[in-house]
Amino acid sequence: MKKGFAFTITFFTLAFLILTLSLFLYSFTASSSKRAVEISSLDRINTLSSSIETSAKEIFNSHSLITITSTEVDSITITENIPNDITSFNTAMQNFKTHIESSFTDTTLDLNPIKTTLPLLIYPNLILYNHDFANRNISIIPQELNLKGYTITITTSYSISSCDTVLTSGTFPIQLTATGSGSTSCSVPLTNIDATKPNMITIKSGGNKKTTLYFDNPQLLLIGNLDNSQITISTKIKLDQSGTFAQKTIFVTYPESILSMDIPQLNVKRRSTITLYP
Amino acid sequence: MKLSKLNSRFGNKGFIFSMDATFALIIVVFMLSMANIYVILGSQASSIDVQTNKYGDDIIKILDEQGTLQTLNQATINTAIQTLIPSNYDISISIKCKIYPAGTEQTVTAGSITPTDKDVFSGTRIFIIANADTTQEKYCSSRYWIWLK
Repeated sequence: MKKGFAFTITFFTLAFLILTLSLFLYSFTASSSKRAVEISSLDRINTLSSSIETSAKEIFNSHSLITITSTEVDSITITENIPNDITSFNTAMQNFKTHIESSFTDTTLDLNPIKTTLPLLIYPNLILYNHDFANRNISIIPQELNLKGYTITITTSYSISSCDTVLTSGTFPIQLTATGSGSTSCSVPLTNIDATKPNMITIKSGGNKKTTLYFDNPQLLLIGNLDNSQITISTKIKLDQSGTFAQKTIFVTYPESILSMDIPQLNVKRRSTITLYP
Repeated sequence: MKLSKLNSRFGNKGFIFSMDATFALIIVVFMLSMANIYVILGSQASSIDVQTNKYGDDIIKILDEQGTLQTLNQATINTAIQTLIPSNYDISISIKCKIYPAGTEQTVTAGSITPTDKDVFSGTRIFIIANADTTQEKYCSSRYWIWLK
């Protein structure tokens, strides 16, 4: 009698164990399934977001009339015309914003941070490349002394008579080559200046000031076109890649997060900027 | 005669033993069935769902980066799909492009017809067909639906 009772108890314990384990398995898989749905949803958001970023980059490349290139691991070259008309860029971005926001109600493209000055941020050294389109100026503003030099190439539509310099000797290398109409040109050969003090190069045409390059602390460069004739400026910025910047990839973005996605169903909020280079 | 002799010797123990065995069998079968049901329900792998979605994402990304989507040509897109999609999957793609400010819309569909009796996974990718003239630039959304055949 006792044996039978013990047998029945053992049997029920084993059966209960099997049933409990199978319920555990079921419950574990159900939660895995929920995670899988969440992962899939996040993947879809990521695909959408990265494709929006790629399209915005394509609009920048097609309409901004700014070219970003890099031929050396420690430098980046930005080429553009001054004055630069960004009307086409702003129109294309506005059309893109309309398309995105009407197609995806959870997505917002904020153009306010870029539509007036079209600022670019160069990583890893956090150098701000900014515009003042109305006054035909470009400014390159490092946050600290973390550049290794500027090489500036300017092509003008006017004839060049001289490059006047007011430079203070130092350790920061700069170089300028200016080519004008009628085979005129002037240049400032590789020169080390004191980049913590004001320095000035003025390109003149027949005695008139036409283009100015102003250097100041900390390694700031301001290029201004003093009249409406279009000039092409190519600025090669050599970055300090030592210390914390060693072996870090150079890339260029807008300084602010202009793309935001807010999906309350998934409790997901995503803010991102647009990578313009590479 | 023999049966009555056995009955008189063992009483109704045989009957009770059979009943006991039958009940035990019923309980065992019930327990195993329940366990089996939960195991089967649990083994319907969710990783397949994620994988299906990933296939869809990858295919639409390749079509975009190859420039195939930008052709807006159904035959070209269909040919490219055939070379990319694994044989046990099927995909349907719908592309809608808009020109601003005119609002003109162009729609292209490619791939197979989306089934109604299968689990279908979908995703969206944005692309543009750039044009120096912004009034001719196309802003497109491509949506895909992918499923196991």
